[in-house]
Amino acid sequence: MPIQISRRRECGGSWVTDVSLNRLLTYGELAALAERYGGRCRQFYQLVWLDFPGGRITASLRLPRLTIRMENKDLEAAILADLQQ
Amino acid sequence: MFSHLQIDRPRKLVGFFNEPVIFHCHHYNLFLQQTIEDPDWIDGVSILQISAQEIFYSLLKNAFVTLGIETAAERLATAARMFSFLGFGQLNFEVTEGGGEVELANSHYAMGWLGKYGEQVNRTKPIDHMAVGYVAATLDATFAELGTYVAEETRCVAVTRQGSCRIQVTRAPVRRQLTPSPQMGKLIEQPAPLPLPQTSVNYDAVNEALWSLPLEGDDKGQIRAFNVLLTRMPANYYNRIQYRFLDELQKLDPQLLGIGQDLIRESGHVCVFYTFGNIMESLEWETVVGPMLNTDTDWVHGAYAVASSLGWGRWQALEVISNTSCRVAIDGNYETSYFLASYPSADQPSCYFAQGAVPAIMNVVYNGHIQQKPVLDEALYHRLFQRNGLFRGAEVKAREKGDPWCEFYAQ
Repeated sequence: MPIQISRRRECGGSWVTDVSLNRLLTYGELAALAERYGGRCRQFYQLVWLDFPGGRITASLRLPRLTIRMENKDLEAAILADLQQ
Repeated sequence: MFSHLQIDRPRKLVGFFNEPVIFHCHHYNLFLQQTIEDPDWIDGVSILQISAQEIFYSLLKNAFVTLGIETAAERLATAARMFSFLGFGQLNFEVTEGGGEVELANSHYAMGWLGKYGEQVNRTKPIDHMAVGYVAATLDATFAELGTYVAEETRCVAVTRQGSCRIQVTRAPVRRQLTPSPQMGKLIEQPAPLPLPQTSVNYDAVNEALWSLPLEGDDKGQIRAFNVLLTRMPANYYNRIQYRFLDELQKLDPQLLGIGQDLIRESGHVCVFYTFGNIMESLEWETVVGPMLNTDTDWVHGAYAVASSLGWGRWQALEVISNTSCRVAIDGNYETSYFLASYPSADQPSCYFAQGAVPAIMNVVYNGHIQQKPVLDEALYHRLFQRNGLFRGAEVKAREKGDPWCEFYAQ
């Protein structure tokens, strides 16, 4: 799917990636994404955390957006490519 | 560690081994520390280090007893795990009963300082005063009693800009008489019957959603959430350094007291601008609070709903008039619970942090136009808080003076 990517320097100095999607992702889709890359998916009301060894993706079941805080840039690139398919 | 957090839902407090713990971000932590550290005419570094030693001793001692941890190795490992859990970085103890050395990696204060100021200035003095106190407290609670050990930071990443920090710890020649934490302090007996606010923001629903998040230090001992670098600090560390700083100023020259109080209020501005500004621009805010926001006044209520999720007590806007004024109750504020357990009486309302934070929320919404997601940098901060036409506040009811709750007015 088409996605829009923007990077910003977060408070505290590290860089994060914001991703705008063209539709909402379901919890099942987020869980499958986490599983494909060896991560763990947890839901807290309408917020979803996808935890990987190299960082975390914060997702929303209300908004078609993700915030990626990941040190493993190869993994981040692979996940972004996955989302674009 | 997360399972040892105890949420007191009626009072909207969070306890951790009988210490109230609260979230703040590195901007607030650095500003408050700098406020106390900078004046040459008081020993601010000692205030910071000793206060940390006192408060963390109480926390660690309670943890060791509660968890039944008896061996020194287990106690040191628990202290290191707790340090990371709270978002302060990573500690590696290389110590015996006689003292030793501790490595501090990914220090919250050092990394936060480098991220905030590192491109503009060089630092020549170590910054990890809280960690120094924590290390001394760890050895006190592991091997001896409060005040037995002294520690000193001998290498600091905020100065060297490479490697990790080092802290030396030794037995003091004479044990110092230090004051343990008042722990949960003087709590309210039960929540006050505050009127329900006119808003579509459901405070309790926001609380539950945010309390459900297992916010804890990652593999670097850092808590990154809501677009900020957070710590879950014992509230009494902030309380002790704040009131001890004011006590020192009062002893030195009573005329300095007002300046000190203004600086603590300023820390409330800093906290709201950076912590709340970033929270209100985050995906978490848009997901949890966003659907409840119908009017501009709801943004103010949303901020208070979040505030009461951070362990700060029950913050509730009683009335918000768009771009004009707000009246806010804090039922069981963490500043007051400490103050009432530590001082015989108050001559004047003494919730200095909250006195700054309440008008700052109006300024962020109505002067900072946070709904439009401005870049939250120092330039905007100075435009927002250092000009005329700002919201100003006052504490008009004070539990520390006998009122049932604290109340603030901003206009």
